[in-house]
Amino acid sequence: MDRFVFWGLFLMFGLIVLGYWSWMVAVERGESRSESGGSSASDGQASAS
Amino acid sequence: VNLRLLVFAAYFLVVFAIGWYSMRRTRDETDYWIAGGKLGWLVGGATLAATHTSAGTFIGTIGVIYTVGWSFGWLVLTIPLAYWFMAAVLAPRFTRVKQLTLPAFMEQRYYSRKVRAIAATIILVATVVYVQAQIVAGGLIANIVFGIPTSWGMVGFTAILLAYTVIGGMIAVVYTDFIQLVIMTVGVVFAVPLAIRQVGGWGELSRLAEIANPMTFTWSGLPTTLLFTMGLAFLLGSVATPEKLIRLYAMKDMPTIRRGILFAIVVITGVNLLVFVLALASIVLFPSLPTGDLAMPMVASAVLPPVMGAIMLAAITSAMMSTVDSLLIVAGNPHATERRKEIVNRLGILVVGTIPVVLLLSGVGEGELVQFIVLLFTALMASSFFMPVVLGVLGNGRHAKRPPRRCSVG
Repeated sequence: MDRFVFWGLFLMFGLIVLGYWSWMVAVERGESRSESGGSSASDGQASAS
Repeated sequence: VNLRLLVFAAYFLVVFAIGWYSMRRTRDETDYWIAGGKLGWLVGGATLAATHTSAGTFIGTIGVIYTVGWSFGWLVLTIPLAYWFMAAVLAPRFTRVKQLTLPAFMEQRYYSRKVRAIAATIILVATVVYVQAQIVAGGLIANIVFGIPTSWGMVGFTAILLAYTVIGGMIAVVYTDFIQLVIMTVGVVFAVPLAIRQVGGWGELSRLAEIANPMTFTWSGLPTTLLFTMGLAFLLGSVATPEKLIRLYAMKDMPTIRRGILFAIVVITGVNLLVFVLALASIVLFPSLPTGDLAMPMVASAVLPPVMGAIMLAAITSAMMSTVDSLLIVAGNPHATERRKEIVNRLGILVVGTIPVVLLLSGVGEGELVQFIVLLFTALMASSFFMPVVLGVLGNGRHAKRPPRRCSVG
């Protein structure tokens, strides 16, 4: 149980970092695509007032 | 003791050198309050991570896990979630118009100088309470390292902090944060294997920890409702506290912010996980301490070899200093503008930094586990700023005149 708890936290840490990195790469690809396509950057900013 | 003195002397020398260098590099208000707003991801992420990691992590977290067991450790998962929200939702909107302070953002967003004053007052009050906790911990470390009375230690700790923060402003803060983060990381990375070896390996560590404190690996140490509310406070507080938000202004652009936040997530969560292991080791090695807050100083002085122990104590001091200097920067500048005189800026930080130590020396604000003071501060900041800031950047302007209501809702 204790080992499971310990490694479980480390495993989740690894998965979270991987998930964030994938999200970051996807956002940057989207930005460079929209820049090369001539439209404005889509950084999730569209709805701000 | 001489070795500790040497390590600490070298550390303070580096910190002062950075303060001096930063003063010479500071040309205008933007440099002084947001380090010019051109930081890269490494320094930007490091200053975010160092600010997040305080005595709360190095003394408080160990203290709580020592007392109630592993369940508190799961709150670490709120950190990446909060920082992702900051990178994905808040930062793109918050940084569209760069300000020098959070109160300035509130004034610009809600068209009211009164809101700015309310925000500045909340920051000031919360900062005084929080800084007091860090100064008490600084006094304890000084007592252990130099053998001087705790009250002298508190004064010395504050004087050193104020010296480099006042002269160097945010540039000094971010570069000292970077050095302090390196010291913290080196401290825990070397301390963990040594502590595990001391108790006879990882298998023994978990077995003996469970024997010494049967609730170590159970969920019974903290009531579920308390765990939930603590998690909520840390989650919202990681997103919306002013000393973190202002770092978004200090970084160059959105790609830099996203990378900086990834770096911060890796370091903060990684250091926390390693600190948990040290907490388990302290349960085994020192099963009957009067308070959990003594666990980390005991690991540093009794478990580690002298050089490592000294570096670990410097790491704890670094964790406290890197958080307090950032708070002084945000609390000392409620009315910062491009036109203000340099001397007024510096005087503001000096006054705010002196109040906590004067209160402590008068006997106001001692006691309590460090982590609970951190929690109180985080909850106050989160409830005051999460709603106005997040709804402020997401809203469409119809509710522009309702920030006090949003503070109350928070």
